Amino acid sequence: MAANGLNDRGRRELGNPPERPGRESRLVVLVIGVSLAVLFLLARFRFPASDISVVTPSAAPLAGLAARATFDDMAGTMSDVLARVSGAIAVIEIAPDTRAKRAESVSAQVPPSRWVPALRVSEDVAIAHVPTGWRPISGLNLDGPVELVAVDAHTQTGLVRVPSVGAFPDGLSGAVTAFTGLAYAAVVDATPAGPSVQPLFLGRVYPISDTGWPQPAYGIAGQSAPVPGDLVFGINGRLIGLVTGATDAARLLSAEALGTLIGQLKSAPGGSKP
Amino acid sequence: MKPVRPEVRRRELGGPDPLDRRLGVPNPPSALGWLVALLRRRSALGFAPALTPAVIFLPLGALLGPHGLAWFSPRLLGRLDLAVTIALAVLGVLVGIALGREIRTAFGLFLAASLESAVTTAAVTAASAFYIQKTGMPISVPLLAFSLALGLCASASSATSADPDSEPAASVATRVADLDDVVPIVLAVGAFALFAQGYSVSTTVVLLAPLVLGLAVGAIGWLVFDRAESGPERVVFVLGALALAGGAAAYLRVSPLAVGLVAGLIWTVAPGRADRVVESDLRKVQHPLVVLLLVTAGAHATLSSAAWWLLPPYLLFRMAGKVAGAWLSGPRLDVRPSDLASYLMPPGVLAVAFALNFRQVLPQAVGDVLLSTVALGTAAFELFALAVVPHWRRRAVR
Repeated sequence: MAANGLNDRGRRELGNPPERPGRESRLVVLVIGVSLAVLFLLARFRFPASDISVVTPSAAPLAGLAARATFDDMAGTMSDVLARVSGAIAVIEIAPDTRAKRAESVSAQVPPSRWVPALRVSEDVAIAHVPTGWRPISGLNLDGPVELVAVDAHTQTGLVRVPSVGAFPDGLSGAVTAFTGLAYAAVVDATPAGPSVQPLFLGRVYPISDTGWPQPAYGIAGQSAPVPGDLVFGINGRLIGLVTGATDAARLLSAEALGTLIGQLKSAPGGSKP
Repeated sequence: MKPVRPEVRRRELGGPDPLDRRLGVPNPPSALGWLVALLRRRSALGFAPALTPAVIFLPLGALLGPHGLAWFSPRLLGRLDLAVTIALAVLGVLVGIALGREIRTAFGLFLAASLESAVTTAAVTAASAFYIQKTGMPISVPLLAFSLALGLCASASSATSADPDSEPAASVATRVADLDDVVPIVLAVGAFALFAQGYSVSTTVVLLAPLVLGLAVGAIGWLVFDRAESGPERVVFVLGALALAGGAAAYLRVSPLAVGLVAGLIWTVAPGRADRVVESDLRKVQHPLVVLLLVTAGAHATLSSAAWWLLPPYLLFRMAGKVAGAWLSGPRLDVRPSDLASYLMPPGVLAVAFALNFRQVLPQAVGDVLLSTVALGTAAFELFALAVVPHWRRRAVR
């Protein structure tokens, strides 16, 4: 019976000598000690990157069985895209910088503030459309102030410091590398209630080789083009680009161009790029 | 320790399979032995404890899934969610039947098994919470709820490496493995309530619905199973009751494991032979459901850096929890704690079932991380149990 796994009591009943009493306790202490030591050692490291984004709960298991119309499919796709990308978007309010206009006529009409989506590119920095003479004044559901870090006057695009959140996904990761147009896209804009989305068929796009614009940048044909400030995503949730520039000459800055621009803005003296 | 009837030693895998008995328990497998077992024996389908199904079907699912050959598309996996929910309800029923049979004759065993699983849950929960907080890992759900979910997944045991007829310790371990799933299933209801705080479903509904649904399904089954006029009609009643349990749980976003547990308990403690009817009919679908769960879990698994990041504390503290739990509960069971711990090392399909269950209510990214960690941990522990535990036990015996 020594081989059958009985404990000391069982072994004594069968006339066998009991095992050394401390063996089992030593095993427990050893395993727990090693586990704690390794845990404390591993806990000294920082999690290297974020790949858990803030998304809304997945659909209920039965939802897939219900018959749905085509428009419901489209609505579901847009809702899914918004859920996937909203963790990488901060909604900020921008307004004309009245401090710079004090010397101007008091009677000049000051346009109202507006909300724009800002794409988080690091833990506390986001990139957004910031028209010339405007600045961010607040953020939606952000625990702290927002401030303009640097701005490119030519593309009207700025880096904005925003309070970090628990998850800080890089909005540029996994972006579309070569957008050719003629595809449905999810256009994300900002509202006082949070980011919103609408489907849009992007027609022909054409490269713009304008000096001063990081490449590749695109012009968008058609009357229903997105407006400056909008973020454009594929229906799979991958970033296509940011629409920015003057209203009458808006461009779609690709993710690659945004990366180039971020590098330029970070290295530009005084936080502004001529 | 009272002897136990062979049919009571159910286990969620394998079960009392006559062919398994004839083949006996294999020797500690070598690499060649594994291949031979894979090719010649029914162990490849999980019918014998030589090569556990998790070792085969989790990697197979990963191979066929969206990150592998993409034969299982995300759309198909979405469609399988309902089948997974019903499979979870079936597992809950099997645990409930085991509980109903053992609770009257072996309440002490149930308490010891619950103590063991509670210790493991606490160990993994505490370690995961500490680790996630210290390393700054971003989790978009409450830290305690996520850590508790990991702990509950870790607490499951299947004792797949134990042949209950081989020795008393193996027999006890098998029964402990059957009963130690009860407390985690009950605690999982609480975890669901923590996760539900962001949904429209109220916490009260999440807490009470499994009990109410389980009672309702149990009552329906108890009323109709014995009145079936033919075998096929009876099978339809059983499968209908299980579909009702899984479907209602999915609709209300509550735990189908808990619903099944309550229903299985009702069928066992209520007068009549509803439990035997269910067990007999479920035996036909048990193994396919296990395969479905494992392949689906493998297909969902994404080997992200977050999953690998969480794996070390999961592995270490599951082992520490099992060893400490066995040390605390072993003396009450007349079994050597190290033997009990070694038999309880394989998590079996219930760990994966818990993870799939939590994945259904978690945000997708977090749910995938949880499921991937548990799937990796399950495969690692099954391999550990196959390769190391037999040698460990032989040394202990000497």
